[in-house]
Amino acid sequence: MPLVMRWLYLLLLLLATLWVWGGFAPPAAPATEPAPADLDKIRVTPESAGLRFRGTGWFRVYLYTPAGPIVGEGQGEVLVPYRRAGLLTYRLEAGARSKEGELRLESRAPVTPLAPKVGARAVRVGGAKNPSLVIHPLDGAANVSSQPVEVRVYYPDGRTWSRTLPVRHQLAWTYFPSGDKTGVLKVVVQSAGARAERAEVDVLPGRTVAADPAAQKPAADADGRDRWQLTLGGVRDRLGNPALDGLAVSGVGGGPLDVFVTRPANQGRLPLVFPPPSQAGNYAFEFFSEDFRSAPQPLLARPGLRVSRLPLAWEGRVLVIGPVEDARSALPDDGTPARLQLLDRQGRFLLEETVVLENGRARWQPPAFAQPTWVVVELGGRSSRLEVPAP
Amino acid sequence: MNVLQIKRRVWVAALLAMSLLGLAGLRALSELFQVAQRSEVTEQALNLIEPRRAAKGRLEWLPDRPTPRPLQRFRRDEITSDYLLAHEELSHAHLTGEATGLRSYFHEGALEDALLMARGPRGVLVDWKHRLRLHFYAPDGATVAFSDTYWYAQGFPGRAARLAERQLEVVMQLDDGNWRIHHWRVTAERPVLAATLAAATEDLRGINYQPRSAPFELFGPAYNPREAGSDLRTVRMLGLGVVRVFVPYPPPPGYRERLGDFLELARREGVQVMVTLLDHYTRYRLEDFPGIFAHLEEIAPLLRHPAVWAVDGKNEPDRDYARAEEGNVVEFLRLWVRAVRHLGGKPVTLGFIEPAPALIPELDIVSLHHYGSTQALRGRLERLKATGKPLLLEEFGFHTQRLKIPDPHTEAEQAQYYREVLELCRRYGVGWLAWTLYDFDRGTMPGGRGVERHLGVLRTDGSLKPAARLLMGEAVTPPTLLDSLIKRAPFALLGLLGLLGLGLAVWGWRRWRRRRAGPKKPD
Repeated sequence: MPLVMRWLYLLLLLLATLWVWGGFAPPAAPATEPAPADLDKIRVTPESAGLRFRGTGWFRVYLYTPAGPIVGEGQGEVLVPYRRAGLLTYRLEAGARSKEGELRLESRAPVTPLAPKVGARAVRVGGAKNPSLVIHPLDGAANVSSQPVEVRVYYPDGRTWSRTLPVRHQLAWTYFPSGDKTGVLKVVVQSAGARAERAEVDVLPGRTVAADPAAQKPAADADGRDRWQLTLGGVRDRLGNPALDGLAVSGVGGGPLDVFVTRPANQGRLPLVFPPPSQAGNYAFEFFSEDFRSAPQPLLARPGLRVSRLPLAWEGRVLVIGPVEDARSALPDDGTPARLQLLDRQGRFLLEETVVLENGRARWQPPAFAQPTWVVVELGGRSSRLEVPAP
Repeated sequence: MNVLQIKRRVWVAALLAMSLLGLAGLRALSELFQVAQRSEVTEQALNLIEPRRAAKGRLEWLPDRPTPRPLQRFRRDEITSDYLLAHEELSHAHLTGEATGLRSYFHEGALEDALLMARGPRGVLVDWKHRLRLHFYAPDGATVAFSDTYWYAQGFPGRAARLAERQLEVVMQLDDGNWRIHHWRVTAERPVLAATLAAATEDLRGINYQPRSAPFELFGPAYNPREAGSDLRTVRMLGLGVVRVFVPYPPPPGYRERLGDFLELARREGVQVMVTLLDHYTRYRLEDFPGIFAHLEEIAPLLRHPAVWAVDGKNEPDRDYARAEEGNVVEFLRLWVRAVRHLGGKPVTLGFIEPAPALIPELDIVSLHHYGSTQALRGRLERLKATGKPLLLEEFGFHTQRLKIPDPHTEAEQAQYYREVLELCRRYGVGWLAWTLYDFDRGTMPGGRGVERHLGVLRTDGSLKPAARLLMGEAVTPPTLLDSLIKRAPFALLGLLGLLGLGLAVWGWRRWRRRRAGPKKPD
């Protein structure tokens, strides 16, 4: 075998062996422990980076944290990078000896920025539910500081409200009044020199308790063309703040008036225009929204067709109605119904029928009866009676 | 280049290729091994979670302190779930070093701590019996503050395990639909440390007890108080003051009532009881601690019963070294002994065959089991006396199975063995508990060993063997040559019959050969 080939083969074999050995490589063996430290002389100092244990000689530290144990070991000095405040328990080991210890680490002064949580983002003035503030003032190691928190609230009307809050259970909190005026309320907190961004709360009107209903046109013809006109104005809360645009206002007709409408009010005002029903008569209408309900508004529906002339004549056995004219001497609409009643001598109903007008006219032939009969025609508020000719 | 050179080069190339292939195969094997290791860790992590979820009383809410608004039930359920999941994730990270999931449950300072821990040494961390008390529920429904008092156990391979009760103040916040731990702070920590109780064993005379009607199932459904009372009277009649009994884990339903009844019977009869716990348990996993601790809390009031003299944490744990690894067994028992003493308030021992040196400082009484020669026992007692702890020969015995091959014993030999053991115990000031009260003619024996049926000092019919008379203080005749001959007579008879049969077989075979050969023809 040539010399070069031999060396190449050996080199490849060596590289391959190293590669394989890497796969099976056992974990690094722990360093041998030098002279153990005197556990009673080990001192612990809290630092910003963690807890520093100092002694003479080699020792191991177990720090028991809520997240689990942290272990550090070293010669003369061990830094355990744990920064949480509260009770810290540890165990020191050196050689065959061990010792348990504990220290209580206080949090430091809070640092900027503080992060207040203000809720809700919008509240109603004078409402039952006031906005609240919760804050965890954190120090540089993300511990909740025990320093009290000053909170100051600025209202839209220029007034202020302030409190000093203690920190308990790793938080400070308070409710604060929402004030009497709508607008934007500003919250500022401060703790031992640390500050936060200003928090804002929209103060909205309270629940609607008052409004002024008015009827611009309370009477209309029940002819399908005429309209009633009403307005609800001055929609406001207990403190007189006008309602927000978009507040839902509903209206409902009482009795036979089968109407229910819901519309948004703008600028505290809601105009309503709607036709009366086909039935003439007196009606009532109410507005309501949140805690407000208006008094019933009286509305009048006049008859839609007022007939001034209702001519009737017999052509043989056929009754001819018309030409009919209304109060304005116009022919009624085609399809306008006329009611016909056939009565006997005693006035008892024998028959009732309806015919419709076409060009103001209609024809009708009553059935033949052995006894004398009368016919009554009703149309647009007028009625006429005449005897049916004998067959 | 001649043919020889070409041949050489081909050979070198082939050798090189084969070597490389071989090495690549080895490398692949190592990768496979690593994958298998990772799978094992994953399986361990699952095993870590499941027993904890199954443990009774894992979390309870104590009555709330006044809060700005009441915590609705569904919110409380959400918080409970996410808080427990956070602890499970922590345990998983502790075991595997996998920190990915921690961000789902921790934030701010708590996340910093959790990530720090995930970089630490691998080990088992279990927590249980969380008792939460709500201090604050924010008006906006997104922040809670509560205190949590819970137990935890943690262990690293090869290092001392820890058992403690901790009180923690926690702030959780609702972030993107999940409750996360943002801030926490330890307010109290009560580790259960090694603290021994005084116990005297010098004058202790007792016996291990299994009922004849249901051996090894004393506190099972077949428990018979009439039989137990009668047996306790028998124990008293034998001049003994202590019985050792066994409570299995997991325990059978109704065991507490039966154990309570038995202790009351023992108190009435003036017999003290040593209760052995965790019988049949062989896993020794810290992961099982939540369930085992719940069992201990359940049984603890009974351990404080005046009839209980001491508690044996586990019977013969050294038998389980091969199955559960010695290190795991020792660290598990270290915590277990502390827990039993903490909650039971009675002296504690472990029923080792040979006590583990690492656990001797934890014990109030050092126990050993011995079924060998009295010479060997002398050596063991001398060695263990040096520990300075009260010693208890918790089990010793001598079977009386006459037809046991190759080691038949007689009742007289049993009495002789007892005499020698008791003399040694007296000389070294060691208490003792004989194994066992009765011979058994029914039930399943440990390991299916037949001799276990013949270790009693009383026969199955309740009559006294010579060893029992010895315990009562009566003089017992030592075994004679005749005893020895009688003991071996059945075997001698069998041997003779065997020889006779062999002779007959040889004689028959020769006869058959001769017949087959027939008469010799004349030349």
